[in-house]
Amino acid sequence: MEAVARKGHRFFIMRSLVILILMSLASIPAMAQGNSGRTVTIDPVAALSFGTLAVSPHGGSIAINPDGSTMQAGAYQVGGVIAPAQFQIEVKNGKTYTIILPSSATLRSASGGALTLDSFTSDPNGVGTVEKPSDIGQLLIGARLNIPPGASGVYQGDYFVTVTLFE
Amino acid sequence: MIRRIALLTAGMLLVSGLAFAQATATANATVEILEELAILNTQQLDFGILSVNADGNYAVNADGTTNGATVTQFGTPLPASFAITGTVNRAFSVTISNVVATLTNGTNTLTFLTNNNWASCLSCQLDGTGAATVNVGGRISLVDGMVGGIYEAAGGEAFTVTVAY
Repeated sequence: MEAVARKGHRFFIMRSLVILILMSLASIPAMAQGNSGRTVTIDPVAALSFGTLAVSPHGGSIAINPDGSTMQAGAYQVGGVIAPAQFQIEVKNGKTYTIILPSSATLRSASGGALTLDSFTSDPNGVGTVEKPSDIGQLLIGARLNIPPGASGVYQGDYFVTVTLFE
Repeated sequence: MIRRIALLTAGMLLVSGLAFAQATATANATVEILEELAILNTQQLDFGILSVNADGNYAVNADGTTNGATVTQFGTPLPASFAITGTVNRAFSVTISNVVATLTNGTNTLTFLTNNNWASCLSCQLDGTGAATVNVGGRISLVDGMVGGIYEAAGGEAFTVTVAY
């Protein structure tokens, strides 16, 4: 009887620990947002804008660098604003963060056309820091837009940027 | 066993306590791609059929009117005409090569001239269907008593019209 009770007690402890482990695993992403008061936020300030382009019948590409400079092949600006994306990074109880850029993204037109964004670059590149006392930094992102022959219209799309505080 | 699990749990909780803060932003990218700007010559510049009465220059303007030398016109003078297509309601520029060319009937010649001043518009606009027409005139120098014949540019091309957004 005692043995059975002890076995039941052990089973209860085991089950509790398993639940605790599962809760621990499940809570990692949530706690990562602000455990120990350490947080990082990223807010879009300006969109990645390629302006209005005229493109060669053979298609073309235009790359915007984080500093705003461009490299164009078969495409040239005829209007609008060409500018890198701008983000504000705000850190609490930290200083250094890593940046994860997408490998590609798709812009679409209302008529169903698609353009590909790739070769994302950023400034800072890979790892950024924020300075005290503001704890605020700026992240600039550029990318290359690939335009196939015959593409026309207004295209837009989303991409994701992730920052992770590690120091 | 319980102790191991407890230690493991404590360790995992410790790790999660040191977990990196992370945030992801969704951002937008935009571009407008204009339709290819195309130009097609739909009408040659035609000075008509002339009987020259005196020396002088004879012009066909972009609107089809004529002026200059005293001639008797037996034909229908027409400016050159170009059909432009592109993105609706967009502005575009026109540039005409600055040309002083020779027209010939195979033996004799006369001088032909055109440039930007002879275009119906230099800062033009496509309409709501993405179409526009650009007309171009020009001027020839005539001499009373010149040898008759059909005078035309070598190869049929006397000038170049360039359009751009």
